[in-house]
Amino acid sequence: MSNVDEASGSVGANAESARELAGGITSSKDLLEQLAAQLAAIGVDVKSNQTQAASDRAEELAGHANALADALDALRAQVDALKALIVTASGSTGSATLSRGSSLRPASFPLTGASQEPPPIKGPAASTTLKPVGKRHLFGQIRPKSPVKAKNTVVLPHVDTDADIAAIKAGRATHLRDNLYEVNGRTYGVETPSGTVYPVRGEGFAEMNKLEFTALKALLAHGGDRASAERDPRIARFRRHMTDRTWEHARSVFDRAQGRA
Amino acid sequence: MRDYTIVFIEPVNLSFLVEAVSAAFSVPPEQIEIWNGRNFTAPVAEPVIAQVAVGSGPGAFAEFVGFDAFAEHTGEPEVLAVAVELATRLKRRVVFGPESAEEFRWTLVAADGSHGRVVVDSEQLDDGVLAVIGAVEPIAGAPDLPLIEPGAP
Repeated sequence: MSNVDEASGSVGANAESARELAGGITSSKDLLEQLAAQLAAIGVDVKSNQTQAASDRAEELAGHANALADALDALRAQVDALKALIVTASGSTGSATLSRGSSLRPASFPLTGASQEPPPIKGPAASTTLKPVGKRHLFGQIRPKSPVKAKNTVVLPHVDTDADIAAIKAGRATHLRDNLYEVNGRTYGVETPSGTVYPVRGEGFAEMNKLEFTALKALLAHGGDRASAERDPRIARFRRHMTDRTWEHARSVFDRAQGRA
Repeated sequence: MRDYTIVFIEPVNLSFLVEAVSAAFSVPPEQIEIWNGRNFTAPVAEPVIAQVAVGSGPGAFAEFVGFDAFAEHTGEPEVLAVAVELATRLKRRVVFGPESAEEFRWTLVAADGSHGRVVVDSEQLDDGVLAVIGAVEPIAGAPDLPLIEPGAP
């Protein structure tokens, strides 16, 4: 096995480890949330709040671990592309060896001459006509009837998803795995067979659970007025299950979208 | 936060759904909220453990919802296990959404409990319409669903 193969394998293994770590942290977060609820139920509010804060921190760490895993996936893709370049440059079909001081540049760097062709597009974007991100994900186009799932990703207004999709189409995004791509610090998925692109996580994306997204829809419908939103009959169904934390997260996304955070 | 949202894509009576939830998961009926689209139909006893509701839009006829209280009460079953239990007791098809932001495929459970991943129409979903357009893998209890090519890996 060549040095490049070893590097690629090592980076891939680290990505898997990071993803496993994220899963473990998420499990811990769930346990902490349960503990916080139990403490609240028996009236130990201070400890409950502390436990909830620890849970929030764990959720944040899980997000970082997932982002690290995505970055490692991207790095692995670059290492693989570099290997392909080395093989091409050496005119060999065998294993490539990356030597210190090699003059070859990574695939994402502009090259001259015959090597200027973009790298081949991988994954479903290679064979599917990509369609814009659905309006249910776009902050400015979320409506009361927008569907709510267990996991929802909202795109904040400053993000140009069309430009990101153009980059995916042009082969300038990193193919992470399966139907997932990373571009400009954001991870997207491509639905098959429709080709519709959907946001996953990253800069300018807000991840929200069912209740948080429901609260955000209500804030949007009521101009950001929580008291008015809470009186909305469409929210009444979940009022008992929403907490201050639910509203605070929805508020933070609302404010970020308005440029107030 | 645990989220058990199971959507019935075939008509089902909410009273029967309450009975099924109560029997399957040992939840007293008075601790199940019943939402008729405008109001709760009866007072509930605390702590509320689950909720049944009319569907949220075309293609969604009814919904079962459970959060952390349901998870704690039932020992944290997998969402799939809850869906299979409800689908087989009521002999109706159900679906539930992807459990991670990276996934886009839903899971359908047929009346006989067989299940598999399906694709819903993304554009219609934007307008609040739930429409299953096909299955990614064969589902014995839903042979009418066309099989969809998963796309190039």
